[in-house]
Amino acid sequence: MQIKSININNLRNHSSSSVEFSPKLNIIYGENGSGKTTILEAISICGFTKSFLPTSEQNMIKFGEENFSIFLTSKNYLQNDYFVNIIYSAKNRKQIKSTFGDNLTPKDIIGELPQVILSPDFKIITFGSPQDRRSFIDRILSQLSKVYYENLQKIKKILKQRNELLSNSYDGYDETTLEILTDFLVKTSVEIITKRAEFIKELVPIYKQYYEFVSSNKENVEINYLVSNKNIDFSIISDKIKLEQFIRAEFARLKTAELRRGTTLFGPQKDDIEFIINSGTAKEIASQGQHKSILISLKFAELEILKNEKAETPIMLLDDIFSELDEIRSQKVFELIDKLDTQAFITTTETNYLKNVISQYKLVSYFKVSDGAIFTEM
Amino acid sequence: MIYTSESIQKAINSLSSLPTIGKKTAQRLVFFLLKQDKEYVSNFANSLVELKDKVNFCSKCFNFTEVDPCPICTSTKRDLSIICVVEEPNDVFAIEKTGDYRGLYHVLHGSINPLDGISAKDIKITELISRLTNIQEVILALNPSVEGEVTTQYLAKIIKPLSIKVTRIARGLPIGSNLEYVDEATISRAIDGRIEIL
Repeated sequence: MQIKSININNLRNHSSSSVEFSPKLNIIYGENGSGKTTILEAISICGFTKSFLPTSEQNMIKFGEENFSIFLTSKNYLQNDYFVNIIYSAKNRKQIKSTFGDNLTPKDIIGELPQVILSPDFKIITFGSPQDRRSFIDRILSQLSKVYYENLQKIKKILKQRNELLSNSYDGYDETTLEILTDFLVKTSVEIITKRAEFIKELVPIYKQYYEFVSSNKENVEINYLVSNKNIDFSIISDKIKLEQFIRAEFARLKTAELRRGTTLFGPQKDDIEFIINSGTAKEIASQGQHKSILISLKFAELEILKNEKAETPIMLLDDIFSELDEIRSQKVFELIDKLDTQAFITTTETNYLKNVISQYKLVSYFKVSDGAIFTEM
Repeated sequence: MIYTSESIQKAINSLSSLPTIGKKTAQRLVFFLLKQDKEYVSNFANSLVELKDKVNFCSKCFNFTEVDPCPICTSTKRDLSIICVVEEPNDVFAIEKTGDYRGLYHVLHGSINPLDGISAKDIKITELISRLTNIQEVILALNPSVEGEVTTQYLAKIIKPLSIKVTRIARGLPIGSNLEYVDEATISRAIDGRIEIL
């Protein structure tokens, strides 16, 4: 995938910015608060309809304006043009248009502009809560499979209904309704868990390879998928029939407890992904440097998997990561970008140091951002 | 906002209590009504009162009707051995428009939805079960939402033991669409619900 240009109107501090990008490296620099990251956010919105930062759209509209809009043009590996136009106003719903038509819904465009985002905020993948790790994997799988995305939306609704039923169960409940909701939950859980397990299995060897490349030490790394905190054998979680039996048994076992606690106690909404380094979990024993190596290897592995599945090389968004990396790791990141032949968008406050590292690469464009205005450096 | 007449204020409040009508639209409608002659307005008001006086639920299928049982339930031209179960009276109109279905209906007036506090006993399920003598097939035509699906499974669970054929309407590709442009989720559902060519 290659983004050709982007037009940003009234997004955060950008009033009206328009840029054409280099097919390879795009270095976006400027002071803190100048609006560098906003450019990456705009690209992210065109891919996922949401920013990768957890701000509400309402707060992304430039102060005093009524709506923001983004228009992005790109071309895919078959050289076909693809555009996305997103308009958000406080009053109306989000309007999504693309090459595929007007009045689209998020599921129509998610996955059409494959992208991998590397930002220090994603430290939460190893440091944060199980929820953070699940959303990391859900975000990738949603790009790969619309069926997976729909199952995620569906399980949320099933859980809401089921939890409501359980929480009111003390003054009587309908057994058949609970049975049916449990059955739906089991079937949707099977679809979600098998997909996640298969993905992790595919991810691990690629991840190990990148980890070896990025880190100078030779630690042994591993990733496990935990079903409700338990490391279940892959032969069960990858087999839909066995997994279904297993989950049904769990719900039968937990039934009294669920009725007493008034909530669902099992399912993919409680699962976790465990990052192992040598013999412990990364959360507990990894050093700062090792966390960074894990994150970088994970993100490049994500890129490679998306590339294999889609035949399309995703673009890469690197949000201010070089300030946190030493020179050796920075160099390795650039080597990988070059090797995987991806179009990269890099934000940074410091260019002199970067110019040094990337002097050997071709097709580099520099953009200076200042007060929400973008200047292309020739 | 202060209106110069209390009646105007009252009429605006009544109209804006309707679904999809906001304050602004209600205001426009009230000023439109004020411009019409008295006959128009009293006809309008009467038609609303009549609605509540004359229209009732059919005691068999629970669709809206002025005569009980409703014309569909008493029709001699319809197949009395098939019942099509729907969520709302609107859905009966939707199916009747096709002109293809010649059986009976049963309106549930909702679907099982614990979040809104609606359980199986709050919708017309017992009434449906009591109608099932001499019925050969029940077609479940509920919405493809989680709530509709739960209700579909619920009905299937209690009707099947009565040795009555239970079917559900097909889900999948819209007519006139092109396979290439239909989203994956719809296609995979259509493949799940495939039928053998006889």
